[in-house]
Amino acid sequence: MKHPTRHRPLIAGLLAILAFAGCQSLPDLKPFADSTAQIAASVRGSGECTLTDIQDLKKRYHDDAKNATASNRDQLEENAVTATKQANSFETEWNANIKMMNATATYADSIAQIAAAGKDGADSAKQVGQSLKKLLDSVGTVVPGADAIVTLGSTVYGQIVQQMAGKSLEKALGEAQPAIDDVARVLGANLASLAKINHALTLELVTTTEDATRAGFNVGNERKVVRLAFAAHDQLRNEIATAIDNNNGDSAKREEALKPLVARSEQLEEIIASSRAKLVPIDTAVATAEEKGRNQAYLLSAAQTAVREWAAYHRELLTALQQKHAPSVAQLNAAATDVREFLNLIRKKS
Amino acid sequence: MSAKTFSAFAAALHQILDDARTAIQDKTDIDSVYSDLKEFIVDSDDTIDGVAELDVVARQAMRDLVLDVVGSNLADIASRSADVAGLEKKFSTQSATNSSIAAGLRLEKVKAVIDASTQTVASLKALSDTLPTATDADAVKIATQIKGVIDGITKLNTAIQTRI
Repeated sequence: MKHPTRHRPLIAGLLAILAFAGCQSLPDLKPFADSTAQIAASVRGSGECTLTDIQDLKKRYHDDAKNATASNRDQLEENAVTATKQANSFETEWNANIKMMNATATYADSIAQIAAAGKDGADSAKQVGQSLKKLLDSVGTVVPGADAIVTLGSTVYGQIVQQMAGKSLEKALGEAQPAIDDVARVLGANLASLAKINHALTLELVTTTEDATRAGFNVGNERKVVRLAFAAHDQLRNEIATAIDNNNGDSAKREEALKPLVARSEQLEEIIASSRAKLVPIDTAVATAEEKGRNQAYLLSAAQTAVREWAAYHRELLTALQQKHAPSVAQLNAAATDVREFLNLIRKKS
Repeated sequence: MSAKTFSAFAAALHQILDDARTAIQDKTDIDSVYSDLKEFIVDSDDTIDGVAELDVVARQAMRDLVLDVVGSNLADIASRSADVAGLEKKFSTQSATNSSIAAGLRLEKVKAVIDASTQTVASLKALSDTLPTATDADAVKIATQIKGVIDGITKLNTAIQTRI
């Protein structure tokens, strides 16, 4: 058996060469993994919101059909059937997008594994060395200086595997870049389509809230009444001011002139109060629906930006590896933060 | 809206419906025409004979617009479904390859083979110890074979040592 100390100058020399050659510095892949997870969550979350909205709309059409006239009833039921088919179709299509993003999340994890294996090379070699020692012990073979051999071997292997990991990562990133760009294109387009769907659904959910069959009264007319009553009230204020000016010196005449005006004013205030009271639950429901629609629109817009930044960052990772510099992560982090905040807002409100 | 007769309201609605058809055909933004239909319903005079029915037509047109937007955008999403499925498969395959590379870098297989060999030696030794040392010819044959395996492993490890 060759004495292990004879190999020490060789190993030291190899280490020096590797250090001089400049070790492959492996990039931090956590931002990429985090943003992938955020985008995947936004795809899931926005899909759930939209499916709920389509199903809600279907139910409203079905319920409104019960209170509708004969001619309208059939049309509303047909609308409910259409909405049902659309809900089913949407669920199928969007689940495929969720699966695609889950696969990209697994990919993000797999490149992180390569980087981690590169960084942990020395530890991996040490574990192998220790396993080998156990095997030798089990057959009653003792290698003098085994601990020193394992330590030196691990250090050398650690340097080598970091280089190997860098090369593997470069190859993996390069091979995946076209697919990453395709995800950005396809998902970006699907998110834009989803935004149009959500916008249309919001318009209709607001309108169904205001429908007479659902509200129990003509909401449009009631709002008109409030508008007209306010306009009449403003007009009346001018008349009251004129009556006061015209009868400045004579309090009795002033009182007489003001009496009918004040009575009309009180009537108008009663009408406004009564109409407003009827409108409050409708207005609250409308405001809630509009806020939900706005938040979904913000989330989808943020997700579209995030997916573009995500693809650009993946390309930046490859360039960073090739040119041995750290990738710039600020824009990706900002985009991922926006997505996370809008998703949390929607979850909080639902 | 200053229209006061049924004909005037009908004509106004007819124009809005034409705009709605154009919006659907051209796939343009429906907001403006949807809002026009809503305004028609609010401003129309239901006391005039037939105008309430015009309101029903206008309201149905609003539903048609929305369901059409949902339907056509769903169709757009569906048109990209082959791409979506293909990308899922691509990333699944790439991930498996990458995980395998990572496992290789971590020397997982090497360690697994060595650990399995250690277990084999321990099992063989335990088996060997249970075999009788008497004249049973088969038992002696097995014990000899086991010893041969252990010696083989020892030789292999010696060969590995000389390379470290």
